[in-house]
Amino acid sequence: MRLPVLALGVGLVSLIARPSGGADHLNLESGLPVAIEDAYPIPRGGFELLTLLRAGRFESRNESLLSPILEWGFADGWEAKLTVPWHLGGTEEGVEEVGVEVLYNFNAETLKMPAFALTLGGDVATKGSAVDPALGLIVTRTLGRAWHLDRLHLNLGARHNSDRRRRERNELLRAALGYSRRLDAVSMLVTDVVFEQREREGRESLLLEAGVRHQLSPLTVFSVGVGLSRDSPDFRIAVGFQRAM
Amino acid sequence: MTRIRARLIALLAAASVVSMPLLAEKRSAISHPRTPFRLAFYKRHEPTYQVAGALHFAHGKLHDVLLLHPFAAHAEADAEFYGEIMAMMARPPRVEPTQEYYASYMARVAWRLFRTIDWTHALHEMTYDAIADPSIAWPDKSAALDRAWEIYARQRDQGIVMSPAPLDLTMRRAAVMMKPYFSLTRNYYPQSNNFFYAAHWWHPATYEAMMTGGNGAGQDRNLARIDEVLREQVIPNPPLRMILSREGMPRYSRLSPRTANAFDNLHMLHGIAYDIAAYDAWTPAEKRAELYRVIDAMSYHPGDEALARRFSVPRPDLDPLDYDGWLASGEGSMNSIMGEMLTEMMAEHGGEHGDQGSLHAEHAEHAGGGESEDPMAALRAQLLLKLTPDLQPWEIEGSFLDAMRQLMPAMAVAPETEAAGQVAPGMVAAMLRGWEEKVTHVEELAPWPMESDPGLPTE
Repeated sequence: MRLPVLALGVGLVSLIARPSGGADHLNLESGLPVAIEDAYPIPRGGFELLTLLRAGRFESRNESLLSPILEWGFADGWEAKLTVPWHLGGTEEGVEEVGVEVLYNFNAETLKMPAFALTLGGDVATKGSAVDPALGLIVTRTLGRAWHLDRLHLNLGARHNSDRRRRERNELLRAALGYSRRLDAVSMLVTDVVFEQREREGRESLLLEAGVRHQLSPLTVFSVGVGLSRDSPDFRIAVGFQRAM
Repeated sequence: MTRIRARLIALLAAASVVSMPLLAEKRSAISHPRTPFRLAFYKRHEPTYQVAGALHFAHGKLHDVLLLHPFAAHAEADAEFYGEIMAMMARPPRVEPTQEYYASYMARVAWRLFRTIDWTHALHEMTYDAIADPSIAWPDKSAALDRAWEIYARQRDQGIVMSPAPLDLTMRRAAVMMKPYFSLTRNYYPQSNNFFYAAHWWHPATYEAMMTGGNGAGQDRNLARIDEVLREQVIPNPPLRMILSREGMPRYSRLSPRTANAFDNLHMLHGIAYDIAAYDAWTPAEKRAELYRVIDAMSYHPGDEALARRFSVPRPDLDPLDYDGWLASGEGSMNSIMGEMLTEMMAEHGGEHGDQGSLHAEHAEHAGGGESEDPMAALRAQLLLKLTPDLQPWEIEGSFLDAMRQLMPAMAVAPETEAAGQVAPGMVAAMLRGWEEKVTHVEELAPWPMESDPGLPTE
């Protein structure tokens, strides 16, 4: 029942919005193809549909995920994001939760000051009423003269586990450090290392990822990446498409 | 008490650190506007679209080349960058890069400059799209171009919309001729500068080739030819001046004077921004202050739209496919405007008017100045040399201000002239008075008739 309502909501938003943004391979998006995100929203009025397909073996489980994501630059410096992670196969098949997030960018980077953004959001369970609120900080810093547009990105986040069970953490912390670099006129290299606390107490993950974002046309970005955990041979492959509406 | 004071200082320090991003310039990226004709040019004329991508790579990257190389190394930097431009022209990018993509240093110095450039490049795209879209009937092109302008102009409260008024007015508002950076790129980075003179032939020629080609196959043939002319004739033998819309696209200028003027203003802003970037004596903060002053002067002011048709077209029947000697020469509207401005400024100083502002090659014979020469004629000759790419025989090194100081050592220079982000108000007022007097003699340019598609046989 909730998915049709959600689809209706997405449709309404797409009618209301007056899109003006083109997908841009320089503007990093979480998950496409790696976790790291930069401190910049999509342009004001921009409306993008992103599709992430991720597969692999992670934490001793086979993982297949199809995740449509909608982004809307609803005001200057602001971006709203709706994520619907659809697990394919396994015990978690289907949509267990929907992610909602707003990002606010404070500033353009200067020679002395990085760009900062805050994110506020949460995962809304599709069954039951639990909402896991989350807060994040994103910092983007261009390195030196940056002839190749070398940038460092820091993502820090905390999520509250509202539906906490026995031997589960109350708060889950996440930290990611990423690096991006221009490869050519239409391609960016993106790498990161991601530390994440799992819900189960004592369990954490450390993931190393690398990928490429490639501009296919003025409105379309294709991305592909791989991730390896410290418990290799765990790995995952992510393929993403990003399209301005 | 000491502890309280220490805490207070710590609190204030923390508050100031936290507030820095809040007080800093906002990042408001601009990208493809959604129009009914979006990407029509890209879909129909992809090779030509890619030429624009290569040109805009060069436009973006030159900012950082100039900012990050010492001025003394200008010859090496110019040669190296020109090689990069030619390599990009040989294999142009599939998608047009934003300015930041190849110039992240300038993006951090003056973000609004890049917002202005990218947004006006989006106007280029929208207007190309409107004419390229064959589903828009020829008589309806004007309305589509008006729509593109209205979308563009909506951002005027952001201070990133170029003025729809002629360059004659905006150059006077900007008043850069006496600034210490004026003409540095043109004279010391001639290969890069001249590539942009070629680019600023290409943009109007592309519009005009579409205007003469019509909606059908003539448009495709003309644009293919324009790209050949660019590579075979114009880049090897670039124009020696910035060609204005009125010169390179007289029909389009009559059809959509607001956008035509906005393009002239953007193309001039490119040149001024390069000069400011090349000027070593200012800090990045000072360069930013000056860039923003110039953007403010050249951007939309209330009342500008009413002036959009107040210019004349020197060659209304220009064939855009014919790159002739007049287009390649240094003499044209740009130099006329500069000559008028010099006359108006010198009149403010009580100087001689000379021949009311025109700049011609014969002035070069006065370039040496000297006791027996008329200093005003010598100054006018130096301006002509400064407006000519590369260093010329008899040219005084440095900026035009340096030349003026050498020729007229007793001439007082207003303190604002050499200050970043400032301009001598009396100087601007004198030039604006001069233009207001001239514009009364300029008739409104008549609209271009669009009733019949030029690509279709006439009955």
